[in-house]
Amino acid sequence: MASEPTDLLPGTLDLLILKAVSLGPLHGLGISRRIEQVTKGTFQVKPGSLFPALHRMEAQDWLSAEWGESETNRRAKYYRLTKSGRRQLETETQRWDRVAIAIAHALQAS
Amino acid sequence: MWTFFLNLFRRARDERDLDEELCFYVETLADEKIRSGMSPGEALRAARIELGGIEQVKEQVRDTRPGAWLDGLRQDLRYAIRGLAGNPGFSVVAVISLALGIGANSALFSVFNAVLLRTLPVAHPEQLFVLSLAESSYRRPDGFSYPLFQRMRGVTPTGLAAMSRIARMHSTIDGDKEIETRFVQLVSGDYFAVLGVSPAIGRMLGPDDNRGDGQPVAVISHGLWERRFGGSAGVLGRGLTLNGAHVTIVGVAPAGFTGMWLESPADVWIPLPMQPIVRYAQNFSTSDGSDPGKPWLGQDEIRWLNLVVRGRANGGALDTVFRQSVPRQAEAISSPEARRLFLQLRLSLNPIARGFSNLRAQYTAPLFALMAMVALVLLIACANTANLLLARSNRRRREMALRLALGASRGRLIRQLMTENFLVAAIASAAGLAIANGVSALLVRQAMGIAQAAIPTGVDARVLGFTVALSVLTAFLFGMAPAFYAARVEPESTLKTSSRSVRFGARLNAQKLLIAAQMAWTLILVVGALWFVESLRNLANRNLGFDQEHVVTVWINPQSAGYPASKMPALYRRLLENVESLPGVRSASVAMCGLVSGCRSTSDIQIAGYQAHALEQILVQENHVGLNYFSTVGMRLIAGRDFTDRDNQKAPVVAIVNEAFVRRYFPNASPIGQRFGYTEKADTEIVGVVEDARVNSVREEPPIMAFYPLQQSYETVLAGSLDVRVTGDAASRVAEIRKAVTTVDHDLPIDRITTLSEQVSGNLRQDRLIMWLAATFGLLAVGLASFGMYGVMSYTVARRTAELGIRLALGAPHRRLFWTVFGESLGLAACGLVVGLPFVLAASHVVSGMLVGVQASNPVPVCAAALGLAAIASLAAYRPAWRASHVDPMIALRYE
Repeated sequence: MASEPTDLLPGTLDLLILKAVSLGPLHGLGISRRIEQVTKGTFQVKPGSLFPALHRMEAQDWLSAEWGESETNRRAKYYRLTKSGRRQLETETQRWDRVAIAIAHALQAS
Repeated sequence: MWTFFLNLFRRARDERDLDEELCFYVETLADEKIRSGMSPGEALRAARIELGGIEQVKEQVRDTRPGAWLDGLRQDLRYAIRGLAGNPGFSVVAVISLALGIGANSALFSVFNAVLLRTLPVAHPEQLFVLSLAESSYRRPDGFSYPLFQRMRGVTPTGLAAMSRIARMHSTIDGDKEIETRFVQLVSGDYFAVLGVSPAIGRMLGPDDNRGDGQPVAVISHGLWERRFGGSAGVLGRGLTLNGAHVTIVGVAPAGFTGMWLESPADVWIPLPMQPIVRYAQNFSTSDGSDPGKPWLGQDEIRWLNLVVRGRANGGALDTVFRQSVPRQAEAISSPEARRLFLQLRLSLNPIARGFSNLRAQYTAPLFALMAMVALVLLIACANTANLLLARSNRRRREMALRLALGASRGRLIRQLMTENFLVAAIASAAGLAIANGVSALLVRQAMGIAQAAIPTGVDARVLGFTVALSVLTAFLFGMAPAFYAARVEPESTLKTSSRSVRFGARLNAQKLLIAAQMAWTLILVVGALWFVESLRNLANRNLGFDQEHVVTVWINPQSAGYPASKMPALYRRLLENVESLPGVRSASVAMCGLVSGCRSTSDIQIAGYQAHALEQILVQENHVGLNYFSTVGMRLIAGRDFTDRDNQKAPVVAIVNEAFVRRYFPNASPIGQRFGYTEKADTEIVGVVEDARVNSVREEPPIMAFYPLQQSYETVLAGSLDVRVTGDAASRVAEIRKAVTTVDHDLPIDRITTLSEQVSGNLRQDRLIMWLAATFGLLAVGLASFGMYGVMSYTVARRTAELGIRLALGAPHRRLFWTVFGESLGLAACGLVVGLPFVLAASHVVSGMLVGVQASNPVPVCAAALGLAAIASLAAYRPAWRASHVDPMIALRYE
């Protein structure tokens, strides 16, 4: 693995999930894999956090779910970003950017 | 909200979907692992481990759903019902003991509420204040005259209401022959307006009714309306008589409103100017120059009214208003003496949101003591239930461990166990409330001495709230610790080992602690109950100074029948002749005030040759009595002579005083031949001395008294009681005496006819109620505590069956095993009793003021209670101990 798995920072799980499904519908395992892949293995989302988050975000109407065929021809539940989910992704991204910049400044200050 | 309901309906489908989603996850993961070379079985296992427990994940997902708490609650309730139904023995016992505890609390609280807390059913009762005369030259600061009321009203910005006391009157409803007793109050025109009471139908009395001209009108209570008029609107315009005066009903008071006197609900309200027509003549004080025989409204010297004022926030502002306005009003008074007195008035304002009551002061301390007692009863019931739960938690360890292993969190387990506890408490509360509802009306009526259900009793919102709060508190008290114990299991070790070999240490100690505590609490309650019993016995056995066994008292009311004073001597004579001619009657006599009847009259006098201090008033209670009075009621004449025929209106005025009088005013001289009087003239000669008697109440010390011959005061005094001395059983003579009285005059109303012992016993009603409550709580405590002892010891024996079996098999004698258990029980009981002792001493300080003739330091009740409890504890422990010594080793060992 490229880097040591790290605990998620609070509030980042939603952002990562929204980002993961922003490119197209994915099922639970797919989302988990996508996150692992794009963070180069830094973040591993455990099912115990992933599924509650998915169901919560579905209830908040950021994600919509539908049943479809998986690549292995099994019925799988695919999550897709909704309009309000996309808006949420934007706000979360902006917020994260601000936080990241602020933290970077703070660390660079000597 | 929509998603909330949708979620409820879609739950089943959601569960299926969640299942499928997680299966897909695991299977896909397993597929990948198979492709990378694992065997299918191994791959599936690895995938499952990676998921981290399907049930746990599911539980976490469920928790995120909207309405998850409701689902959780529903599930908890289902488990709780299943848990309780699966263990009916526990459930029934827990519910019964808690129901008794809660029921006793709610029932007592309903009395507490009715006597001490409930406010008047009027608009904003907290704004009502009673105006009273603080100490002033008015000697008895207990009333206002009508002219004074008028003057006060002139300066009251917010409205001032005047009211008389509640009077018993004889009444017939138009078109009806039956004479009934009604409770009537005379009120000023703005009484209802000031109280903010609006009619159920018709109208209330208004200022116009108070002018005294026009048709006399009345407002009746809702209760009377329903009882006697069937709640029909036709009541308006109907008439009724009150002591012979005819009034027309113009309105009905709202339900629940019975006036401002807690223990004397009113049936009828009439305007103040009706005082002379209905012959209202009670609860007044006078000074020289007044004539109670004339209408009271014009007399400044007759004080008979209570004044109530409505203030906005507190009494402070009103106080100032009254204080400032008194001098201004004084100018209007013509008589210099009255003006001087008025200027000396010291007014005080006190909140009267709960209404007037004589009972409240007497009950306050005992009710607090009883509330403390009944709280202890509930604590004992809680301890019992906690013990049962602790015992049961052992049996449920495996269940708990399994649920933990299957993904339930500890918090969730505690929540579920607490749900079970709340369910038990809720069922017990419902049962307790049913008990309370059954007895509280009875208790409240007993407490107030009101026969009819004229006042609202039973369970109201406050009692309900109290019970609900109590049940929540109870659930925490008995359930919190056991729930934590139960949820503190270690799944691995518990599931691996047999359920019988876990360690019990902490829990058992807790159980034994509870047993000892129960004993301590029970000791306090039992000793307390014994004190109250002893106190009542002392009261009942008191030497009252008169003979209560052989006297029948008839309360007559010639005044309300309209007898003029001139006809009274003849009436008395006929009454006495008629009654004395009955067989078994030794003598009869009349008196103004009956014994222990609440009737009393007190005057200030001057005694010739006695130097009073500057501010000293010589207050003497008086009674006007007929011939042979003392021998009839059994008061002993100890010096001088009794009244005779010759002490009539032409003879010098004479009096007989009691020992208290002599002790106070003639400590060194012989009282016979001394003189005293209402004025400095001192025209009354003392001709005799009688023994002290508790004429007012059993509790009250004998007052300083003077007795006057009724025949010297026929003009001004009416006899209210006819006392008859009989031979043999007094109760059996009552009917004949009643008949003899009614043959004299059918229209002479008899207020009441009782034996004197019955009358005295009625006087102890409160004390008896308190004693019975205390005794009931004591017995409940004993029952619950011995049951707790039995339960825990049985459980201990059951748990130790194996150990006991082995010891028996190894040759231990039965006797020793018996004593192992029995001795432990007695030890626990002894511990509890010793710990309870200092609390008993502390309690004795609190209650000593309520007890009569009880020495709290007297060790007898404490020892008796301790011995009794030890005996009961040994009884409770005997059977478990016997079982311990008769364990069959074979069965015990096989069982393991």
